[in-house]
Amino acid sequence: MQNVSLDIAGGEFLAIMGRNASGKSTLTRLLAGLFPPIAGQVEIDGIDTRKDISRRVRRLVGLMLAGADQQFVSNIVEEDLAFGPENQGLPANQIRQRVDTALKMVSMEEFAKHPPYLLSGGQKAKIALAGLLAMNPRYLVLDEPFSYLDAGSIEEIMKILSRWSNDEQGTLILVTHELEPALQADRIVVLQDGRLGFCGKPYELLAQGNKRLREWGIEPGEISLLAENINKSLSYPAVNDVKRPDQLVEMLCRLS
Amino acid sequence: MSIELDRVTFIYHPGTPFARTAVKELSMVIPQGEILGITGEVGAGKSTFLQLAGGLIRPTNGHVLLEGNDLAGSKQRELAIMRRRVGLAFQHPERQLFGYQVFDELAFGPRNAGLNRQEIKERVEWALQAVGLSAACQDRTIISLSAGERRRVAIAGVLAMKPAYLLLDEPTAGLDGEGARRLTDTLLSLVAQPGNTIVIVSHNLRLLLAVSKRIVWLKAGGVWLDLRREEIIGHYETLHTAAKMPEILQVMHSLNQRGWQLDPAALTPETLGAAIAERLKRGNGEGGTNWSTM
Repeated sequence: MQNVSLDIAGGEFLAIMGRNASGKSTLTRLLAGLFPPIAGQVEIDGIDTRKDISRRVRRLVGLMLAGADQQFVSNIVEEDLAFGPENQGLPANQIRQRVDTALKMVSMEEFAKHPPYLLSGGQKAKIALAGLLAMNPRYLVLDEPFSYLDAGSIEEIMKILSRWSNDEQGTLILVTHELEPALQADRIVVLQDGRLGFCGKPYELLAQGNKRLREWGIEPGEISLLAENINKSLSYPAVNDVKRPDQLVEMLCRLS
Repeated sequence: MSIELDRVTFIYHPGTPFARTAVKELSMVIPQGEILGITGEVGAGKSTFLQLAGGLIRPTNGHVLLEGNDLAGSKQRELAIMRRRVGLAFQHPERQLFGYQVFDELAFGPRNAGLNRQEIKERVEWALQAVGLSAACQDRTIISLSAGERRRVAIAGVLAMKPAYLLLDEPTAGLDGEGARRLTDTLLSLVAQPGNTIVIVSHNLRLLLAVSKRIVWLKAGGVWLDLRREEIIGHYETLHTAAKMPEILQVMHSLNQRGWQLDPAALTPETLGAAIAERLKRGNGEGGTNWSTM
């Protein structure tokens, strides 16, 4: 990572995209205070991670990596969730409350006594997320949490995250290769060879065009690809500025 | 010459309070030359199915036959010989890496298969290119690779053995757009060669629609729908109730409902784009290919 400057506001939802090896995971670890930068400065709520990368930062930031099932520390879901608050030194009644609230937030109350490793992929991801929520973080940093999940599970987790962000005014930082969840963000950052390739609103990213998106390792949306291929086959730009399937269908019916 | 599952049941942790039936009385034939997509919700039994088909786990009940040989009834030695014809990339394939440098990792399979130095070199370079990595990458150490690059190397390692049966579990998970596209192209070129059989488990329907001749939807450990490519759009309403459908299928379905009769096998942005353009050129259905009567 080289010369990256970024200001993330409280309550913001930021998506980070980019090719494999563009520096996304490094950025998430810098933001979570796992290691300090070699040059420059990372400041989280005024705490400089070069000077203090210990508990203060870790309490503020929850980090979820791809492969959530590798992060479980207990054989029972509720014990796994209690691990974080216990280490924060909370009294037993508050730990109980945190665990129950976190399970409720991800709608997994009935699995409190289950072994986490026997759950399905989507359920494991929700439990890993609940483990972070139980620590009451102000920032959630999620590194490709959707890689092995189906569309239904992704939608469900996005709903949980958006509820959390609204209710707690939490800041959400999501690393993903999938365009669809990224488009729900307030702002999208694209990393390119460790540098900031793009930073802007979702519509500004889409306005860059499919060619540029591909250069950044982002697979364009299906509707946009379909429109591109229709225009290519017709050899003139018949369909433009369509985002949704129903818009495209209406436009095509008008053209036919 | 096929993989055949005959009334296969698989139970995890049988006889414990956490016993879970992942696959239930499932029968399926995967003929040689097939490129088959397997999909379904998380927990539908997809990964278990793949491990059963690859002979990695033995069914609790039923039989898995590879080229007519029952994997459960085979001796270890016979099983080892049969398994050489099968290449399996698991979920999180980056966890199966063991080489120091990328070259060691990719050369391991071909070297054990008795290939000479020049052939090994060619295989390694071909496999790297197949997953969108440069030839220069072979000198890098595994530890210097990013998570996405490790996944590509792991898949390249399986491809380098050129197995007759290639079984892939979520191969594009974690890959960037280009990596996924290169892998898709490679799978298409592999299946164009006679004799290759590919089974891809994925929740990514865009990938499956791009490469598969047939897609099977699993539900609660059994086969819910088993459709040839051109049958899929006809089952749109049923599929739509179970899972979110790719947007291009939504477009195709809506257009067909309005009387457009588009080629039912045109399920990618490229082929559907061309089919729609052809229809627009011909005007209101005059003279276009009528797919409903084919």
